[in-house]
Amino acid sequence: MPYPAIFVGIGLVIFIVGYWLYARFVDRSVWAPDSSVKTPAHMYMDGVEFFPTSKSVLFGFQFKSIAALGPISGPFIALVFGWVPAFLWIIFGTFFIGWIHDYTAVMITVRSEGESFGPVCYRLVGSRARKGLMGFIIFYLILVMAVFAYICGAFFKAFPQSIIPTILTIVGGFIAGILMYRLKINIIIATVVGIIFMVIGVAAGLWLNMVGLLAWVAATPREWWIGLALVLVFFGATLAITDWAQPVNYIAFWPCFAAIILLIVGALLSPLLTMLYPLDPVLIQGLPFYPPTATNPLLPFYTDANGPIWPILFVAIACGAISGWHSLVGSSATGKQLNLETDALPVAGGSMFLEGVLAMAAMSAYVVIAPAAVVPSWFLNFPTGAAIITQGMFGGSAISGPILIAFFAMVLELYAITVLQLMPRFFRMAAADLSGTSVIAPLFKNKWIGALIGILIAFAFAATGAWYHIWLLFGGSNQLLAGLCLMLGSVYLIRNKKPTKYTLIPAFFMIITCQAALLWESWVFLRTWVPGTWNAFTPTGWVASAGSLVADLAAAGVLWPAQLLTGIMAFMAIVLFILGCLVFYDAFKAWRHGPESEVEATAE
Amino acid sequence: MSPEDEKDAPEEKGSVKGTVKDFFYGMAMQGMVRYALKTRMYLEHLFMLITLGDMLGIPILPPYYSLKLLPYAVPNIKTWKRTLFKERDFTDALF
Repeated sequence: MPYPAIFVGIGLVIFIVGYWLYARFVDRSVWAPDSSVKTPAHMYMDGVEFFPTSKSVLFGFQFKSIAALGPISGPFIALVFGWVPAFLWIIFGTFFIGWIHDYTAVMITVRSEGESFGPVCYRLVGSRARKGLMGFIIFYLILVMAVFAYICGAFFKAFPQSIIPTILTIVGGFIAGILMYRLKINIIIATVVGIIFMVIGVAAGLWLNMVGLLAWVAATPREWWIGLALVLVFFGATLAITDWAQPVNYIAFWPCFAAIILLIVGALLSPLLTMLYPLDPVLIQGLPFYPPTATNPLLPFYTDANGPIWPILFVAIACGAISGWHSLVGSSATGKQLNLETDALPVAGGSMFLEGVLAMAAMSAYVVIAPAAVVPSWFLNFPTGAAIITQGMFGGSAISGPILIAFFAMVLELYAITVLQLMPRFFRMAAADLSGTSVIAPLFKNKWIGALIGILIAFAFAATGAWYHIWLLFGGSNQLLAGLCLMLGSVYLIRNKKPTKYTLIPAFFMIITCQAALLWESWVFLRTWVPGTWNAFTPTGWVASAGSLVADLAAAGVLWPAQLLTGIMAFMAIVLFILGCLVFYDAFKAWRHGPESEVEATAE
Repeated sequence: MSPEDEKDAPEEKGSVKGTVKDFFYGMAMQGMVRYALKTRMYLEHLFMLITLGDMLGIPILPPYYSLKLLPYAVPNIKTWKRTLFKERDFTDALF
């Protein structure tokens, strides 16, 4: 069965219908955008932050900012419950929640004179909610850093052929930066130079791997590679952004974008390619939808290693269905550049629907692998699956498979590193902002120390090996942020005497689901404190996957490092839960006051 | 919209080629260009704060020199004041 084409085709049709019927209906009947109203981009035009930008440019900007590792990695966790629930969540999540969240974030900013998330939250709800939200975002940033650092380290170790291309792409980006900014050389030439480095890297990595010179990588601890990724990130977080992070991200954009296009086109063409190039006997086989077994009659709705389908599935697939990150993009950048109010739907809503298509294509990459060939760490299957889908487009030659595997593994590492490079900067700014004039404030105001603190925290968390659960914590906080944004949207709408059900129902669903997920995850981490249970959990991957530093220590009887780290993560989950409750309570109170309520900022 | 605003609005190319070009520009370059412009804006605003700080009650330079620089700064004063007084938090720095 050509699953990729079915997944992407169905997604494409449903999302087009969703855009033309449901999204346009909500757009007209709730927000009623008016193209004659001046947007903040016109009102406050400064040629920098506020600048009317054409919707095609802004669509590209929004899509690039939201489509990263989330829609590609998220589906694999959800697949432990079978592909049907994952498929349905991507469809319904994007259709009823995802697009409206992104669109609401942009429209609130446009209708609030270009204010960002924090000031809008203060004005609509109060100062306590704003502080809660900012605190929430700090923990969220830490989780993003930890989870992306782990992904990077795990891919370096599992696909040693991708180490050299990743490093050479970064070097190429650095050189392109020198060419562009120091030597003032044309950007096209600088881009070509950067891409040449990447191509040389792929060839070199592949060759070294094929002759066995990279075999030693498999025997090394994963922490080495997480450390390597974070060293690269430290440069990006501390050097001038035009010297490192920006040109590296620019050069990395090209292979990452090519991967997205290859994946979507390959999936759509899969029926044709399967007929033309019967490359592999396992081509286009689906993972089974797990039936109940004697030992676990609750399958696929509950698994010992992963927990219950609700709420876990809904936080596992993050950006592919809905993501709080998108509201940060929409409010801090896109909303300030919108040329016309009527552009909000194609830019914000359209980008999200397109991301839904990408999530479908990414999911299909996991289901084309024969069950027998699936590696236990499921997220590591993506490059293999993506290569199977796209191999036919290159004539199905024998060499194209290994090249594509190296390419897709490199792309995932680049996605992780490009996001990671910016995270310690945001973390430092957020921590400095919140610490105010306290004694620890100078630490975060120093860029070297502030970035180092963020990176060390990320390393410690990633070293637990509890990647799966950190991803769920990240997903929980990410989706909760989205739920809180939808709640803010509902408060805004009721203040303006507009219907709120289209935002309020998704907000309630997301907030309740994410809070349940955070409570579940805090319980998972707290259980490791029960004497004698850590070792019992380790072999099943319950908390720490085998081979991680702390799991090895725990196996050797040294429990305190593992318990300290899992204790910190349980604490983090509980803090996120409390902050989420706090912001939700204040926002709900503001919503209940209705249209006539006055803004009453809670006393500091 | 007034004619002035229409002048500010970007040119609508309309053609498929133009749309695709804009889409690629948005994906690849828009973030970089905004960052470069933001950097210039911060430096210019810093310069204006040093030279024309007395407008905001911060007398740094003797008024004579401020007066000499004033004609060059006049076009940006409104934007400068608005940006300086605007409420911000770190989410503004994300993109």
